[in-house]
Amino acid sequence: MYSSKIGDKLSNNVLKKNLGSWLFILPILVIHLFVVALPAISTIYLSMTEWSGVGVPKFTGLTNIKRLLFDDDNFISALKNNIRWLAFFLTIPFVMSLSAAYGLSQIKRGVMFYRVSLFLPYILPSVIVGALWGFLLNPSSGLTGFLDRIGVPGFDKALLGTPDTALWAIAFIDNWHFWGFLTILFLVALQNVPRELYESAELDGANEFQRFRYVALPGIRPTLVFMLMMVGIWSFLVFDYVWVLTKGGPAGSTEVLGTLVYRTAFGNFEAGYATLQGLGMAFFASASLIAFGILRKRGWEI
Amino acid sequence: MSKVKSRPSALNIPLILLSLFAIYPIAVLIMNSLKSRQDLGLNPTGLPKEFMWSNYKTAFETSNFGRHASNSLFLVFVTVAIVLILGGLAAYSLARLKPRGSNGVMVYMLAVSTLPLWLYIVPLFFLWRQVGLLNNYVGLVLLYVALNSPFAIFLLRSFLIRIPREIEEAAIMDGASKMKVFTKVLLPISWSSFLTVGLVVALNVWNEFQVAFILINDEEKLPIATSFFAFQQQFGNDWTLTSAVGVMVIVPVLLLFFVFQRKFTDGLVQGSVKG
Amino acid sequence: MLCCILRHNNVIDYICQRGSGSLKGVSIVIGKKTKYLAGLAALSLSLSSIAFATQASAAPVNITFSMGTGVDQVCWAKFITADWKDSKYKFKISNSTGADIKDQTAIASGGGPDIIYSAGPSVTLKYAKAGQIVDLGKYSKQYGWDKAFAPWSLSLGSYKGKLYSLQGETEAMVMFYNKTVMDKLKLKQPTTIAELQTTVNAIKAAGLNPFTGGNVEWKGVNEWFISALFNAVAGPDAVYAALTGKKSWTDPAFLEAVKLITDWQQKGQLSGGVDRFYTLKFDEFLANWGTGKAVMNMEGSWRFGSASQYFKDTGNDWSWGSFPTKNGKSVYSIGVGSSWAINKNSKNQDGAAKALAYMFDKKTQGALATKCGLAPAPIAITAKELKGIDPRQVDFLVKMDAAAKSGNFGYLTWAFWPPKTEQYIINEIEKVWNNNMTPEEYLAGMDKLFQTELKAGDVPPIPARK
Repeated sequence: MYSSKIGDKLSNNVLKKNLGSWLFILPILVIHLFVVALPAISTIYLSMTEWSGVGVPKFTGLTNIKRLLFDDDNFISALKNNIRWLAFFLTIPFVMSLSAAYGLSQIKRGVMFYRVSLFLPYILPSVIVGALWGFLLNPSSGLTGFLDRIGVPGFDKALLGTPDTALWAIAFIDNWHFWGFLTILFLVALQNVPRELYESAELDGANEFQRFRYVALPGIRPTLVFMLMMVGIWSFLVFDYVWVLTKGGPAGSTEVLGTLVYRTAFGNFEAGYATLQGLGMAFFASASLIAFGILRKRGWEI
Repeated sequence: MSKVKSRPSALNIPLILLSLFAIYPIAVLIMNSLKSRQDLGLNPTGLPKEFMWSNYKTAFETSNFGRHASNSLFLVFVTVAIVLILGGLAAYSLARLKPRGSNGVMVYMLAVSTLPLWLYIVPLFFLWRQVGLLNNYVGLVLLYVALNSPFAIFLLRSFLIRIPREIEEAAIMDGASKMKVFTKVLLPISWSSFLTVGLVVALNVWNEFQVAFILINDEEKLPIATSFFAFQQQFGNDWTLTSAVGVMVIVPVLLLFFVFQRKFTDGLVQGSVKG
Repeated sequence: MLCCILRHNNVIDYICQRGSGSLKGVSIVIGKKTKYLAGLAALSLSLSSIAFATQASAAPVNITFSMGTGVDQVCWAKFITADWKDSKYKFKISNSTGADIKDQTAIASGGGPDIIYSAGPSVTLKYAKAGQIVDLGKYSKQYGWDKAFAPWSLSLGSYKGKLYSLQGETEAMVMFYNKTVMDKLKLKQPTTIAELQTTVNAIKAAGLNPFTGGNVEWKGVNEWFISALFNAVAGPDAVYAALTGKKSWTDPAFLEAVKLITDWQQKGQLSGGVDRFYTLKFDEFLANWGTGKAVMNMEGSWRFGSASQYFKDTGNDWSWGSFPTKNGKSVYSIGVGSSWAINKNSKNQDGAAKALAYMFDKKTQGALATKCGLAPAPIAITAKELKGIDPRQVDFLVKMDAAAKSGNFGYLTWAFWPPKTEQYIINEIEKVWNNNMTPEEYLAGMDKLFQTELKAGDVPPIPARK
């Protein structure tokens, strides 16, 4: 009798506890479901239709999927560009920001100045960054034109106009914008690593790099892993910079999945098929998710 | 990382170079905004010969800057408030309370951040036409909140998780409710993280141009980045004027950043002392 | 009324879904601040009643449509808004970027502007097929459009025998020259492709760019060249045959055209290099033409209105000629710059028709030409209405009008081609210029796509040749 009363109390409490905790989550979840999930679900239907964007969609079943899997070279080449983008963004901004954040965490004076100056590019809207760098990379009137005129090699061709360099030029520009954000984020995370750990490592004979590798990095692992995952996802959703700077040209060398979907829907009037391409984008973006899900199962706490 | 000795001064060199790399293009933007068109043609990347402050007056009037900036300010405030409050509550629950099934929420949030905007914007438009959320700020804010919340929640959660549990345990043992633990114990410690997330969301909203571009029809209601985009289409050939508008767009954010930087630093120092 | 309230330790109250299914009054109340909810409800109620009140008292009725943000379009919008004096209606025009996409989404969801303005007949054809635009038959009779507009333009705007759209801004591809440099180099304006090639070489030898051009702002620039050269090299009869499905696009004549522009691009005859071409804006490449760094400009007649401003203060002057053809016979390849239709969702269809009638009236068109540099619509317009425009443009209009009347004209891709093929032309040609695709492959792909669109009925009605 005694135990069942406790049992009732306990299960009652567990239920109450769960419900209460859920209430913290519900408001934002409800908003999100309404705004994103609801429309997104209808895209599953739309992806199986032929629809020009006006009028009534015509259900066509698996035609779109067959085309995507077997007959869409544009999708493949755009995907390749996203993968190049991914390779770039999983490495360069992280190396830069981890180094800078660690460096900043070790020095005492001038931190404010660096934090402000390094973060500055991130606060600019993509339209302005695009316009600004478009100007700087202009082969006649910009910085590259100037460098070319004074004889610096490598700037005779327009970086954004040459297929070999265009995508990397855009990635460079987006990186200029983005890496400061990572730096500050990692800096904040590094601030939570207690100084004593560094000191004891130094006493144990660890050099700077070893302290970075064995104290700093593990200390910020959740943040680091989280950002790697987000960059993994975002790399498949790139749109802004490519669109503002080259619209996917020249010769499709900077076409990414995002610009392809846009063009298919609004340039080619194939909104139904574009929806399927969009789902394809989501599929690859979620690959990053799944990779990290697997890592998490293996005990990494994000 | 090179073998840098732990003397601080050596680290300064790469840091200074990186800072220059970050600042120089912005400096060019500012310098160009003060040039006349001829000056710009002859000297695209250096200091202005004469400081044409009049560019700003022209830019302000032509781009209807006051209107658009105040539009964006409103959108920023409302979105940040909602995201921090509702997102913060959710992050707390996901980090500490972990009710059954909340993992599903995390998976959902992650999954939806893999969705490209262009995928669901058309059905969204349809839906919102039915509920009358087009061309007004309620609809826009709801979308901004939805777009920013997964990232905000995850970031807040990752910050909250690192806070040692001992700090709350005292309060819990005293019988504090979940809400009180959140507001009285965790929030004061982690408020700098909230500030960071708030700043990030504020930035995203201020800089956002695509969503507003689709959902808002009246030119008067456009937020600032969208109106810059439109301005550039029309006046992009006058780079001095466009630069001036660009500078005006980034100045409020700069100010915000500078104002909050100090509090931010103090909070961080306190946070690391306590931690 | 669905109202669910969850209470838990007076922490959070939820109040959801008040009213007839719409999400008015969703609010979160922390603690006991129910006043907050009441305030929100009152606010939304008062806002909606204000909106309702202002709507009810509105007069005159707005006729809405959207245009882009180009300088001439802004001028156009301003002019007609100020100039149209009607007792019942007035214009409410929104100049914004990406307006066509916003409109398309709005229209698809049951709304959209009264008048649909688009870049060409293939777009309005799409709307016509979807049953989204109004049959203009009765308005055409009422306002005399069937007599005022050139037959070829009426044909472009028709679908299944009914008139669905009006075409504006007649355009033709021509060749523009920097006259001063041409004279200095003692070069005559070429009339044949062979002469054109000689001219190109001569200019190159003088250290200047034979052509100007740049497509970073507008990818559609790519199709200007294909348009012009298909007609110039293969001839309008061949183009007509291909457009009506009687000839394949892989025909050697079209191949020659593609190879020509590819050759020019790869040799850097346009703006000094393909990489430059991909990064130059309109103002930049036109300025190059004005200063004489580049000598020839393959553009359309839309440039007549604004050419002079690029020659101000440069000491140079410009001239024009019809686009050189293979056999030397002068051909004007024509198209239109815009297409206008009435949205089926519009509640002011009569007003919209009245607005269109005003806009396509000779006087308005003349004023738009002189004040905004806009090319006139394909209506009968005389020198009287066009007083004040550059005599070179008048010369062109006369010649083009004669060509159109005689039925001997060429076809521009953005007016007569179906939409997917047009996009293909614009996008894939860059791969040819960059050696990622052969001209043969390009045309094979174009032909395949065109045939599917032809079968699906997406090709605008091609006016017969006389």
